[in-house]
Amino acid sequence: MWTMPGDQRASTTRLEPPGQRSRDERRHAIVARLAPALEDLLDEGAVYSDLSVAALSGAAGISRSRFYVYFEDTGDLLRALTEDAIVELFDATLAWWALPQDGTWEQLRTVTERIFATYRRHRHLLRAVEQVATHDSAVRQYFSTLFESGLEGYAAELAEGQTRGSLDPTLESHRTAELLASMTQSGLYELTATGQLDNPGRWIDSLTTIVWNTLYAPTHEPGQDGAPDHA
Amino acid sequence: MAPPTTRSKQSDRETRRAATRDKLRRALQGFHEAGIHYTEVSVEKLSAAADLTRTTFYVYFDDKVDLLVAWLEDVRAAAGSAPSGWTVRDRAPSRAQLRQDVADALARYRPHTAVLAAARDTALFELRADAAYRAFVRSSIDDLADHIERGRHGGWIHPDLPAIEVATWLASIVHRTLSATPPLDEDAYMDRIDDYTDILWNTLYRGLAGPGGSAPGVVQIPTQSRPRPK
Repeated sequence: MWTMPGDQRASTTRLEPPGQRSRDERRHAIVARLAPALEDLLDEGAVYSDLSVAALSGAAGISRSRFYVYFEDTGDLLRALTEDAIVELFDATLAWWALPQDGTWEQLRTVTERIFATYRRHRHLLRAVEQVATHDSAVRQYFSTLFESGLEGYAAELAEGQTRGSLDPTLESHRTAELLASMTQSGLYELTATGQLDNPGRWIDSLTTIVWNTLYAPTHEPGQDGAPDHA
Repeated sequence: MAPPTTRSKQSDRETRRAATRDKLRRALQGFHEAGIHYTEVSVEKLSAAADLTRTTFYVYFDDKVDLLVAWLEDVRAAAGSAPSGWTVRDRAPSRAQLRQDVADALARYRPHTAVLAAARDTALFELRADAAYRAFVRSSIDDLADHIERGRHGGWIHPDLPAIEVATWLASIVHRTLSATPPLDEDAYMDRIDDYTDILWNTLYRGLAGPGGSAPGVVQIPTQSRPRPK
């Protein structure tokens, strides 16, 4: 079960003598040190699953035995490495469902642009997650729980927008959120793999239009001035 | 004695190779239904599940990727390479028609989800598998993009809708569903048909789908088919 990183830190700290850095803090520090080096390795074409504990601990500047003090295995390290990136991506995506009643396509596009930028920044780690999830069931379970809790947040936000009257009230909130979120995830993965994320303008436009037509068009047409037609 | 390269010996070998491939595919299906990915099954384990030895496997296939590429060709042959019926229409379907079209298109690939899942997973790691799987997905993107182009020119799909891009997004979500592990159960599968109908309808046709469409340049026309908020 996934718990907030903050909760874990609080509970671990309590067990530590005051003044001493907790294991969790040191774990965090190792991850922060390793992340840029790893991004470089992956950028050069390394496959995360092929990297050994020796290689990873070398990149983090710690010994192999210390690695195991902080991480169960390379999958555990991947979870620690990508949690922040994924939460950041969820955060960016949350704004899709929260456009105001007089929101416009352009505003929605700004949100999409931020989702793209976040994904692009973390693309190597996110790709590693997709890969490792196909053969490591602990990693798979962890990220699907994370994705599920993200969906809960999206669905709640979407339902609120429906109550406010800013988006189509006939949509089933959870399924719609899941559909659009997984479409984005799989599409962005594809664009990254084929190098098309470097020139993303048309892709941002088209995804924005799909999301706009699905969520907002029914309550924002035909008013060209952006005012909801039922106001 | 003649070397064993005569036509009949070769076709014997082809037949045996095909039979071995089918056996292995039934084993794959078992793993897929149990939620186990092709990428986490060894040649040893896969062969054992098909009542074959590892040696037999290597008589017919170089490796798991070689087998996978052969499976994908089988799927192409079985599902047919003609575009799905609905993508060749030259006018907007009704919503009910669209739902039927979506159901038909998914039904073509549903018997093959174990292979599609194996292909998608392997493509994450392996260039040969990636090329084969991408070509497979590409053909549905192209079909849908052609359809959007026709709609844009015929005035029943908005003229500003970018065909290739929209087709890529929509195809990517459908292919993600088709390649899920474990496969979707019946309820989830039926839900997906509704979901795809909604997203296709909203993205492509809603607003312009009336008989005869509407004049190009008229951007947004309120829908008649969805309840309006009060």
